[in-house]
Amino acid sequence: MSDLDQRPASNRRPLAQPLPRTWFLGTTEYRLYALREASALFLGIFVINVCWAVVALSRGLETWERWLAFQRHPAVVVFTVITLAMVLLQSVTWFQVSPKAIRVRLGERQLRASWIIAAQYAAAFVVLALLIWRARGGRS
Amino acid sequence: MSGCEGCNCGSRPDAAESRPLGTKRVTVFRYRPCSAVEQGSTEPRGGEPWYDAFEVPYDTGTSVADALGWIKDNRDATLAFRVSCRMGICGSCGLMVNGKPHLACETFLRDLPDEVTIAPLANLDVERDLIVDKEPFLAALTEVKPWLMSAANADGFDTALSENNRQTPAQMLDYQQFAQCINCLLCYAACPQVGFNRPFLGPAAITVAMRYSRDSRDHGTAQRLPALDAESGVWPCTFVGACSTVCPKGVDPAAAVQLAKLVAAKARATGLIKRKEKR
Ligand code: SF4
Ligand code: FES
Repeated sequence: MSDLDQRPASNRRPLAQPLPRTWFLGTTEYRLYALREASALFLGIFVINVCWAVVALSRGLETWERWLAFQRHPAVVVFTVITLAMVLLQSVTWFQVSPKAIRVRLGERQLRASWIIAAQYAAAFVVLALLIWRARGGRS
Repeated sequence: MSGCEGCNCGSRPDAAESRPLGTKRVTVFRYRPCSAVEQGSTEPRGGEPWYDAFEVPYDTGTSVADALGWIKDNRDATLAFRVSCRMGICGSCGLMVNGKPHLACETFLRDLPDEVTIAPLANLDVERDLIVDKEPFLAALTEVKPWLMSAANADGFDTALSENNRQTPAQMLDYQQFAQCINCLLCYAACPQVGFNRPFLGPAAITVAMRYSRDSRDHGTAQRLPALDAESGVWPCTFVGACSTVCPKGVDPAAAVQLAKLVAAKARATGLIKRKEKR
């Protein structure tokens, strides 16, 4: 007896609707999401590059100079610019969505999302300012 | 033109009375579970889905639900679709209009382009024409135990404790938005993870779980955790955010899912700490 014979008598034959392979091109929202996910690839390669810089520096001046020269290669410059754009996209969209996970209730009202977003930008700028200050040797 | 007392909707040009505006070409997805031959029709169709196009007259007040009704009444009585309240509250009429999830009763032909394509909600199995199988969602809903659980009797609402069930408006605010869900499943059609991960609880079921777990009268979070903190629980969500964009009730299911992730992560962390303390 086949499986078919053992099924209860029913005319049901649900039709599956698999996602098309290009689903991520469907709407602007999906496209942005796909771009955000793709940014991880660029970031990963960038991090490897930075790790390589540290290794090159520890090996001495010659390897460090070679790493620096490599950074000036047009392909690497283009890659770095794309990575910067990707990081910005990642941060901006992240700041935009984070109020969904952070809910602040002030008495009988919910803190508006725009305030939470603004607070994140403020925090980011403070950190950036501190870093620049440190990089300039702690002098103002 | 009088209208009801205190209401000025009668003076709005579009609401005053319906004016015929012309016709639009409405293309509808069709599917029959068994071949038409089996059903005694001579038409050799069935098994494979197909599309039918209709010229549908519309006026200022014709919704997509009205258009489907007109087709069923005047052109093809075999067309199957769900509709009930016609006022955006029952959640029956979700479908894809030109590729995007909409409530048929709240989407108007006057606002759509001249070519309108109507299909069943994406990511869900089609039973017939525009009717999708809601059974998997109902199973997910049951899994998250969508009811208030009192501390004393964690499997049901304890009416004897009604004194303790008083709530301030501020406490209500913690879950009220999530309580607006009408189970229309537009968010499931918008969520690619629902398409990828068949057993995923999905945005609305998780939202309903949060609606109860964030309620000050509820003590059932521990009982909902096994469903939420599972491989097919909250974790398939990668925060695409489309669910909140399409939700017709402003429920913001994406927010509920992120909050549920926090609840699950916290429970895991405290579980780990407790296990260490025991050693
Ligand atoms: S969360 Fe919104 S889109 Fe999803 S089922 Fe509920 S009302 Fe519909
Ligand atoms: S018919 Fe009830 S929501 Fe559309």
